[in-house]
Amino acid sequence: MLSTVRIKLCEGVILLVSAAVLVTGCSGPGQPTQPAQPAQPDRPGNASLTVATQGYHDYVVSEVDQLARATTQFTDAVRAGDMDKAKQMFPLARLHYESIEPVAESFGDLDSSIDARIDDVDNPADWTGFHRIEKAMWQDKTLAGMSPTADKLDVDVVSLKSKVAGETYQPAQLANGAGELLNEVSTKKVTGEEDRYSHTDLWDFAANVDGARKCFELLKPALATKNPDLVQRLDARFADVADKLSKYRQGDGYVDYSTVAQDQRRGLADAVNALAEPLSKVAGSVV
Amino acid sequence: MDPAAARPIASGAVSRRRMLGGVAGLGILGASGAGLASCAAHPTDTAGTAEQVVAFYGGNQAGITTDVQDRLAFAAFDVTATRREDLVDVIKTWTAAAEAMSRGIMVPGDSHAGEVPPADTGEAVGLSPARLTVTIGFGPTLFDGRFGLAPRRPAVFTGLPTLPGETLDPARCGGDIAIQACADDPQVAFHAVRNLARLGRGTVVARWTQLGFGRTSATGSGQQTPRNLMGFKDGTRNIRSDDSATLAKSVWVGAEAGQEWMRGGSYLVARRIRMFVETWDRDVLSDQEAVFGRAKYSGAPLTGKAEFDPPNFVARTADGELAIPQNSHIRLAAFEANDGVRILRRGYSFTDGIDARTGTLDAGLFFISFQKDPGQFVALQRKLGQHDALNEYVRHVGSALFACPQGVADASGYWGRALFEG
Repeated sequence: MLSTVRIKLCEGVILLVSAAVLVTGCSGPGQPTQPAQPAQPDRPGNASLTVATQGYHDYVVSEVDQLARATTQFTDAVRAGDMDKAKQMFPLARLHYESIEPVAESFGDLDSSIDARIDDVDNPADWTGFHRIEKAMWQDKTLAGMSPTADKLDVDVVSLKSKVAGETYQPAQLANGAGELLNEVSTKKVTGEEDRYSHTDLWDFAANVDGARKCFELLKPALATKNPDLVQRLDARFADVADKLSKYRQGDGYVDYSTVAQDQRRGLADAVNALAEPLSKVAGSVV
Repeated sequence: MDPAAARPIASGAVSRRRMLGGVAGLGILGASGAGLASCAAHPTDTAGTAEQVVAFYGGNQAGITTDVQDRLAFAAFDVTATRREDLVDVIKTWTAAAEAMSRGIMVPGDSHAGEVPPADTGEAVGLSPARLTVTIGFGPTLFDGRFGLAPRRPAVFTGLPTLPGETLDPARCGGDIAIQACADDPQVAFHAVRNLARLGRGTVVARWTQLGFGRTSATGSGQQTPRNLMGFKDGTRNIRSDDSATLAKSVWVGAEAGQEWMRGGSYLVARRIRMFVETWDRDVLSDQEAVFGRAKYSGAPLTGKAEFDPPNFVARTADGELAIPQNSHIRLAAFEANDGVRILRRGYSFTDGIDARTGTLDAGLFFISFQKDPGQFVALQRKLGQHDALNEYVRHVGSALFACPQGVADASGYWGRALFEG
């Protein structure tokens, strides 16, 4: 699991303070002769950033709302033993989780309850969440005994919904969250390890990229005044990823990832890495 | 702050050693560029002593006749960008970064702001420049239709033909651009390639890479001849950096190229040569020496007593056999037997673990040679690949050819400028 967004925020505040010490005093590390200057909460350009962070809050709430609705349809099917419906709903529900995954990960154990892979748990008997049911559907080929897991998933998603309702965000969290989403893609989705039983990895891939794109679009007005070249580059590279991904669309979703050959996966990985590098510079331009 | 304590360096140009001193004690807090550059300056700090720095600027690129450093990091890249401007942008950025790293300076552009990833990946902080050289080469595929460079492809630069003795793995062949980083410290060499790969992301992707852990050639007139993994001295008769007549004749491209951007450049051939070291180790000493044509320990030709004694290729033993056997490596490779053809060798030993199919060591020589015409290598390898007694113990599994342009004269230039602008 990735480190939480909350920790990143704390580091950001400390960094502002330490930079202030170093530019004003030169007495050496660790021995400031002047008191640290507090970070200024009201800085130029903050109006568009406030719009961005509020917009992100609304986006997360909306995504988790859709997650909750789709998850209920999924878990109802699981409890009813309706394998076809459950399989159909599995990627549709998950994509609303994958789009806001870094936020969900900031709530401690909730992420592992909802989204752990079998490698993430100490005791397979304690394994819960989407991937537990994924294994039941595609590998064990039975939903027998999955009702308690479905119930627990409902409870966890409701818990997530209540947590995000009151959550607020800082601009750096949007930028870093976008980067984390792409790191997810380049390390876990491209390899096919995320959805190893269902091979619906490309749905998650697309949702991760959509979540990152949302962060970027929200920050774009602030970024455009400070670093227009970066905006231009990111626009082009988001478009490139979307273009490459579109080749694997099938119906309302994506092809089975096991049909995507190694060199095609490499092409997707190269596009994501090409996007992730400039994206890592966004936080420095908006904070 | 005391202005007198500040050294006249740009905030982006931080010596790795000074950086180390500057950040000590800061822990995770980070630092601003201004604070770092002024606070951390110590009069005794230098980026590196003169012996540790190889000049980057010059008429020829460094890393060709430079005294061979101990370690190699080599990478071949493919260009994924479609616009020539994007490619040129990366090469300009690479040139500046390579020049800085050669002096032991961190990759330019670091803001030292806590909210952004550092511009330099950092693993060379505190290390000396280690005589780092970074050399670029352009592959034949760069001169296809993508970037409008086809008219500038030199006539001799068509790629290597199929050669005897090779079983090539496509994943270890070719590439649009090569970066050869050599240094006396493996981490300094690796750092250079890693950072260029990072700076190029989105424009280029790495196609293959190769680390070399020990030099197998000498180019300096005073440099001791090292041994290859077969335990033999390699490169005794290599072209030396002070032999300017031979360099002009065999290594540096002159006016004859018809392509100004290659004048002062050279063609780089890279061959990954797998050695079957287990079977070699079971071969008896006298046969090992017959295969090379040299004595194993002294390095002397089988007709001499000391390493640098000239081989006598007509001498015969008491029973009438050639003293240096007909199919021995040094006889077949000798310029005397090849119409005077010579190449400058600059290879490194490598090992990449165990060959899963056979359980044997995947090790050998990452052969690098520089020549004024790729045909020099082709002629030699045609002959060696067919007749060399060494072939029983080696196989060429990777291959690439690159055109290394002339050097960069000063900070106003960049690698290949005459190719892209001339």
